[in-house]
Amino acid sequence: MKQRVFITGIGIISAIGRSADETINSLCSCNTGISGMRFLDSRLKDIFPVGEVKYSNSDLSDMLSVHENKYSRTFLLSLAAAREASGDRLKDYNPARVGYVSGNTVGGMDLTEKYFQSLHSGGEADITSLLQHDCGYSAQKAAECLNISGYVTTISTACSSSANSIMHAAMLIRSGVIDAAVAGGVDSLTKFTLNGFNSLKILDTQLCSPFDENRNGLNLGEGAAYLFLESEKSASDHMQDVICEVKGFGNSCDAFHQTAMSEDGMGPKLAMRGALKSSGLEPRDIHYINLHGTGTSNNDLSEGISIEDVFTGTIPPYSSTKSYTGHTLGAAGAIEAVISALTIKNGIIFPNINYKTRMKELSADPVSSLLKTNDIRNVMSNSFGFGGNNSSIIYSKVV
Amino acid sequence: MNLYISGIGAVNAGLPFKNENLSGGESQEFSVIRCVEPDYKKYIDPKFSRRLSRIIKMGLYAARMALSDADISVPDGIITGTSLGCLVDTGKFLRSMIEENESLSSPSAFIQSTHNSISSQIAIAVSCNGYNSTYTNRGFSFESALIDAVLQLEENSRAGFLIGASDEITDEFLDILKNPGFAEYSGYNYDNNFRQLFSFGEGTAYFYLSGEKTGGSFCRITSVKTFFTPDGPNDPVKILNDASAIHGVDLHDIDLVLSGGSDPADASAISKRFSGAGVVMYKKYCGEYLTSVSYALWLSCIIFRNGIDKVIIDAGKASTPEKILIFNSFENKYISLVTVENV
Repeated sequence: MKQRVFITGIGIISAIGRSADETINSLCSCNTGISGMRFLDSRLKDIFPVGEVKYSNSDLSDMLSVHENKYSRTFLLSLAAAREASGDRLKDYNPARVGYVSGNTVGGMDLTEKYFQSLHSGGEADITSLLQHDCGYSAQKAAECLNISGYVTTISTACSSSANSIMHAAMLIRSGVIDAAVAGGVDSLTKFTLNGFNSLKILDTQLCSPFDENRNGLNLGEGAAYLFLESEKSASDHMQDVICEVKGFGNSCDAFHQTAMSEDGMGPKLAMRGALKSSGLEPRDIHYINLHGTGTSNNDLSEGISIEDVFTGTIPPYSSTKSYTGHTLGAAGAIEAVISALTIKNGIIFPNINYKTRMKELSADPVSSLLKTNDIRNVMSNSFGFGGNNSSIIYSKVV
Repeated sequence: MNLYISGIGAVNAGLPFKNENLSGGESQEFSVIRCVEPDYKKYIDPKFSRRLSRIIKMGLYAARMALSDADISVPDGIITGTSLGCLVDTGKFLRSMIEENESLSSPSAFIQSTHNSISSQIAIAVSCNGYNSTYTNRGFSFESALIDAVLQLEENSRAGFLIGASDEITDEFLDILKNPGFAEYSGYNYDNNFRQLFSFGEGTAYFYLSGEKTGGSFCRITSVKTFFTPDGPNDPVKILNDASAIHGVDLHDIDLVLSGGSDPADASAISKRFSGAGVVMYKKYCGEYLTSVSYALWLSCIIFRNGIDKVIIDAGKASTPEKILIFNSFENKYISLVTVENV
């Protein structure tokens, strides 16, 4: 019998706060975290608003008491969220039975681009900062800080990276390879990604408006979120309070284009249907969908059409919380996993802000004001990435 | 654990089949083993190929070769491990962003810079809508892909997955590796006197794996295990003994070890641990890179399929190996063990 996988801890840092409590407060007061850039020193500063974490690297180092090195923002954000998710419980777990599974796309690019910028302008450049360049660095360092040694890995599937890391960790626990895992993801804002998305012409110069007929692109964000996942047995052995469970998941590839989604939403449909099947649920059992909803013309159309098809006649309430956090890329799946857990725990659906006009291809509007209901048992969270990497996870109340 | 291999494909330096002048531990000069690029049009439409970067082309070529070898047109899923991803395009985009002061227009290098573009381009080329993922975690990138395949095939043993690894070396990356300031801190591939242990390397290899034995299966992966050991022991015999005693890895009857290590004393200790098994320090043939275990797995497949006399390696007394252990360690923090046997 496969083990059930429970979420017993959550940690999050993003533009709307540095804890689960701050996050829910911002979400309930419909306060977006997207604004002008304060810390990223880019020439595009005054053009594109971003969902920046409101702390400098030195603030973060102070909060975390890590000063032995000049760390990448990616590592600092990941440690902040991973520590909140695990609290002080790890001392009671066998480190060899706990894993650290992260999702990440940008690695230590914040340091790498500064290094090459300094070289270019003839200034001092510290080559040891490149030791943090790869995506695996932050996982290694965070696992060391948390004293986790059972299994360590990092997934990079663009914007679905951390949905896949949660899925991988859940499968490892389900099959008994490990008993528990800190699973999630992280990405920090860099000029590399900002310019990359600008070259693709999909950044909005205003606050993004996901699923709106007049949407005009996405706002980039940054942050980290991790879940403490454990088997039903481990949760009971350690007397942990269970927030909800990872019920099922689907992963598929659109196999259509490196940066565009197919219009018929083949990949998204397969991912959502896969998640329903693996959860043993019917479309009518889903009580809320936390959309990928980036605010780009292509994503929202493809995702919207796939939902209409998968949930014909029973479209559940849905919204995109990227209007608060911005699109946090490799961290998005985990940030939205935490938000889904908060939805289930508190019985609150957080609205899609900046929404005005229904997309002409769709028959439903996203939730646009705070909705309290006690009947949210199953939440679907979508994460769709470049490369056609589509994943969908269902989180459920434990009854 | 059942993971049967029925198809392989690779792009590497073509060693140890050719009698090339191997440079490695004994050389004081800075040395590199690069891939010999194949004639891509055998597996990739030239129109499609023109738009692809070198690492993606090599990966796609190896992937299609493995599928063709297994006689499969579309796998049920694709998983890639890459420790550093697409370095050429990352460097290209970064350089132009800095030189043009953030006023660039072409997204093509950015699009091909993402780690998942290899798995994704393979999926597009073979029209695979199934499971797709990419692991990038230093010395565990390929091993994690294998472990994911174990989990996927455990839940659906009738499925077949394409699993592989790709890493590339670039001149810019070599300049960094050579820089004494970097080398001193990273210690990557240098001994205490800053002599290279092996040539720096690169390569790609893909495998078609299924959960059940088929007519075409020629070997079986019997275990894949990673040990993350931040303060870990670096005595290889202790690591092996712990793996078998504490973690239950079956290390009986190993008759050939493909070791990622460079120390001849370690090699003799390992040989002794396995009652005189042959020990080959495989990085002589592929160079040092973080997904080199994929090369060692590919070499194991070649040995099982074609016989050890077809490869120019000194395998000691293992003239017809039946069970091979691949054993690698990166910075003593990332230790991996893969056992594979003839079927």
